[in-house]
Amino acid sequence: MMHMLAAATLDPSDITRLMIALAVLLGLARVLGELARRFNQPMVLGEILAGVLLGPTVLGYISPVGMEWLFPASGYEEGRIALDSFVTVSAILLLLVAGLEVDLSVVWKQGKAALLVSTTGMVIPFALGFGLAYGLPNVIGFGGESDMLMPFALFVGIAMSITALPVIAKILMDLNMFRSDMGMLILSSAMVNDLVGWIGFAIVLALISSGEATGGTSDLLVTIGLTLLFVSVMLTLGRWLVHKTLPFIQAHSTWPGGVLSFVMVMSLLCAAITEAIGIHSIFGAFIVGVAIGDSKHLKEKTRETISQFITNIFAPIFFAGIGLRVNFLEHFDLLAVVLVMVVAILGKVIGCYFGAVWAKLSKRESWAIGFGMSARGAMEIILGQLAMSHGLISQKLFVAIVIMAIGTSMLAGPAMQGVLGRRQKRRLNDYLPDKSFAGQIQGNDRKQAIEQLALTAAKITGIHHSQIGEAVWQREQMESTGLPNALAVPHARLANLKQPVVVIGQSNSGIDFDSPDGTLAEIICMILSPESMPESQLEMLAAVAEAFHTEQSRRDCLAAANLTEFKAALATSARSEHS
Amino acid sequence: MMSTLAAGVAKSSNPVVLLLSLAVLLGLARLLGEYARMLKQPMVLGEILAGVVLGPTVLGMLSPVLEPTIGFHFYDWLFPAAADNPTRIAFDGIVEISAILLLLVVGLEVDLSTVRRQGKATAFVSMLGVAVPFLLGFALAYMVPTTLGAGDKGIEAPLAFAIFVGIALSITALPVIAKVLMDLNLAKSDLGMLIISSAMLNDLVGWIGFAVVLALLPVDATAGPSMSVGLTISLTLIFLALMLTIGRWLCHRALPYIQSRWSWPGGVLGFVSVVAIVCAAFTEHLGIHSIFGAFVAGVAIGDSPRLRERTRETIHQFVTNFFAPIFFASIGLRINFISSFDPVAIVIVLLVAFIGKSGGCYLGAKFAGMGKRESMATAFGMTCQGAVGIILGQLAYQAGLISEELLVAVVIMALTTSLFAGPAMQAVLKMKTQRRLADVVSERNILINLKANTAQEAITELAARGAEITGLSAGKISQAAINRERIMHTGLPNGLAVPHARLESLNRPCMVIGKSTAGVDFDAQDGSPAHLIGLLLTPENDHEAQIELLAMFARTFQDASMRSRVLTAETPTEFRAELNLAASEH
Repeated sequence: MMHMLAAATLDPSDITRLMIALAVLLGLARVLGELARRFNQPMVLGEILAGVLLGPTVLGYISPVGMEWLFPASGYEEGRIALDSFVTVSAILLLLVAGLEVDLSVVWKQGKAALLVSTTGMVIPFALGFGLAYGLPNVIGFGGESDMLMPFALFVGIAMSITALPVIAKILMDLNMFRSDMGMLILSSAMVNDLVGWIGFAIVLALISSGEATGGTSDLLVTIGLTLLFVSVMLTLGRWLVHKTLPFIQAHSTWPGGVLSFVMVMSLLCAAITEAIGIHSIFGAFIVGVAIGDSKHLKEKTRETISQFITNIFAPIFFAGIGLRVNFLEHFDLLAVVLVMVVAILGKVIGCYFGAVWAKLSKRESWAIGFGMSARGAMEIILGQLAMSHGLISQKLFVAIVIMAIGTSMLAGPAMQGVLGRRQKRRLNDYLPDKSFAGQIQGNDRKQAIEQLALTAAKITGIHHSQIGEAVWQREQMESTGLPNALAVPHARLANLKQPVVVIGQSNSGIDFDSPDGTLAEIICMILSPESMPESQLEMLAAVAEAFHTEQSRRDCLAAANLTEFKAALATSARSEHS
Repeated sequence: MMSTLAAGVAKSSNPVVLLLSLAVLLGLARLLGEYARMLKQPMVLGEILAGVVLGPTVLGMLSPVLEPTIGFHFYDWLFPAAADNPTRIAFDGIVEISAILLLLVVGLEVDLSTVRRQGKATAFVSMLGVAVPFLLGFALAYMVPTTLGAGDKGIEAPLAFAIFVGIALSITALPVIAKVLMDLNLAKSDLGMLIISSAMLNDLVGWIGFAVVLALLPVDATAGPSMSVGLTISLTLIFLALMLTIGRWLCHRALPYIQSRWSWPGGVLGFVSVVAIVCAAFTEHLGIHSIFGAFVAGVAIGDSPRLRERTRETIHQFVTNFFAPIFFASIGLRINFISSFDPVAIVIVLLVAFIGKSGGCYLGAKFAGMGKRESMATAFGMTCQGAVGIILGQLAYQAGLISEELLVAVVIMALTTSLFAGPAMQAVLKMKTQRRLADVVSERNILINLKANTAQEAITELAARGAEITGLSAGKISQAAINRERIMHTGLPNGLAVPHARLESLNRPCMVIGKSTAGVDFDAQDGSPAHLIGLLLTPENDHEAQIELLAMFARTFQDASMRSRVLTAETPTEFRAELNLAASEH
């Protein structure tokens, strides 16, 4: 009999389907996520799109049987339960990572300004959202019974007032503003927003669950009381305990494994606690993340390992999983989408603008903060997903919320860029078009090397090679372009060039470019900039210097046999990117 | 209506129970794993023990006894056993994925090029090391299947059962042996490479053989149409051959492409897991187990030098510290180790595994022209079975091939041989494990705020703590160290000092480290005051100990960033945490 028990509840065909479903979901989500990133859009856009393609919207429309086989919605219980539970765990871990990013000490340091921006940035969109939902519940998509109108309006208000921390962090990094005062102000305000937003949402969930149970107000008070108790205990006592425990774990257990497991156990445990209280499990994971992430004893490498694994494997599965259960075409309602979008952007931009002006920031900076804070991103979608699964909002509103979240995330970067007149920092890889790799250079002569690179450059730019070679050689004769560490950067400005471009050449024997440290140049980057864009030359020079900053990257790049390998060497030696 | 579906109202797992059971399992597994490590045992021992404690063996026994007092049957609540319980299904799904990712990591560690370079010796050691125990196990299982503990399916298919036992006894655990060699500082030596490459080949052969065993099993009539044995085996072999040639080449090609165009390191992480899951689905579909596919995918990807160390590290850390403990602990959850404890089976399995493996590998190493002592060391190193033997046993048990008694015997055999391999190699080679500062210094040995202003005061302060630890008198210790200090000062460059003394009545070496923020003058060459002072106390007759401690102290603090980090430590625990981190860096 024991055999029967042990002989898995999932039989091989269940497991095969489960695996295929996971692989398809993860694979497509990654591919579309990367595509979105290529167009400078948030990765979550591509990940959700993968779910839309595999869900009822597209795959279910083309082949209902195929979709039912891969992602069974009803009947066939085992596979769906296993997949759902995996998605649940994914959501918990995702919120853990979001919590880890909140750094309460940063908020304290920013003090008044952060408080003003986040308060006005929450109150105004909340009021607008609440008003909209209370006034026009059916237009935007009320999902519950009539006695649920209050929680519904509260939810919409909260959904409007939350801000996506990871999206903003990414935008600030791209604009090279992460460590600036304004960057810190935006980040800390977003953290406060997240924290207040989630606590508010937990209360809304408590309202719903007590509405379902017949207990009435006493139950509600108990749930809300327990929630607030949990939050306050975790953020004071829990935070302190974690801070004291971490050095102990690091001193006595394997590293970094001990800490990693500790973080995971804590988040699973707190997730179970909040689920038992009657609010959702992911709330516990978020609070635990805040409590743990705040400790300076949590090493960067541990944080990095957790966030890499989760954002790259669990997160795509979760976001793609969203599209699986909703038909985006059928539930697309233009009026609801437009209303939600307008209120979301207006409320946030105006609210944050006033807060920032109040905190005595310049008008331009205040607008930038307003646009930056309007990004909603992934958090919003998780929130909407929960509200929908509790029957609080209709699929119509959920679709509108997803579109709003993605739309605001896409808007935030360009809008901030436009207001501040700043440009995205580009890396060397961004200046290397196809075929910009000249490979090994023949001979040891400087002039010949330039001519060979000019030939390659001619193919990309369409300018005759003799003109390029001539211009670069003239510049070279004025002052040689050898740099320390076996690099050389011959360059020129060309009148008829359209885009700045870099061409790469390698030389194992080395070519004398008269560098200050006397080394022969092994990697030669020919830098061509249009005359109309004088600043691009300096930017490219800086990008080259940054790219070959380390010994490792120089060695890997020298060993590369083609452009793909060269770019791979550059990408993997650069600091990791946050998605 | 759709919203109710999303909420899974139809039939869904209880998230509280699911999350709580995962947390309890992972937490206890890690805790016991760390204890095992502290006692210099493999971590997997503790992790399996956690499952035994939480499973029917201990908690399952206690639960009905305690039910009247606490009011509910908590074991059934936390780990529901009914096969149609949704929480159970969800839990099993997560364990299944854990096993796949674990085998992916094991596969990533296999480096085919190393195997090829070691050539002849590897072939001899691994072939004889597989053949001898396999034949012994096979013969035994074929002759006395019931004594050994064949399962229902095993009795129906005696050949499959015998092959399985042969394989189970001939496999070597790569992760365990790699860890043992690292501890002995032998991983990069010729001997170490030989053992590792033989173990890799062994793993590969073992898993292929096991895939064949699963294909040979009789199929339930209820399980629907399935492939014939021949087809399954040939598809398996084709899959394997394709993955290790074309698949490997494709991964090697795809990696630079992904690294150059996709986000880093996320793109590669996603790619590796998708490939592993796809291969897992394929082998599961073939009728052999999904983890075989994950293992082969790991081998194919891990072989590419283009897979960066950091990517490997991220996968490895997350999987071994989250999924692996869950998997190993879950083994104990379904087995009663006490009621299925069969001493006869255990003794037979243990003896055959040990004699067959060490005998075969010894012969192989001798044939390859190695010395007697090295051959012995190779033989003992290869006996450890560790996690892989347990995974195989678990699969065979699930497939009904072996009985619960035999599974218990296999688990105990795997653990015992893993425990044995390290000390045996050490004894044969007369080597010491390389110790680090974190191994000899606990919080008691650290004084965080020395008040002393002179060398003499500092020594007295440290000697007082030394006296507490060793039981000797403080005056005697400080006197000996001060006398030594008078002959010649013990200050080292970079703010270090190592006052020391040999003491007749001391049994074990002892080091007390003190941190002085103001600095104490120990007359170092570079004139810097000492901020980190290590008092080294060694027994009179142990000449090596002092030098070992000295070298450890100097090596640990030679790094400037390490010094600055320990100097900011506010408690002995934080100080020791830095030592521990430094020890695991290498």
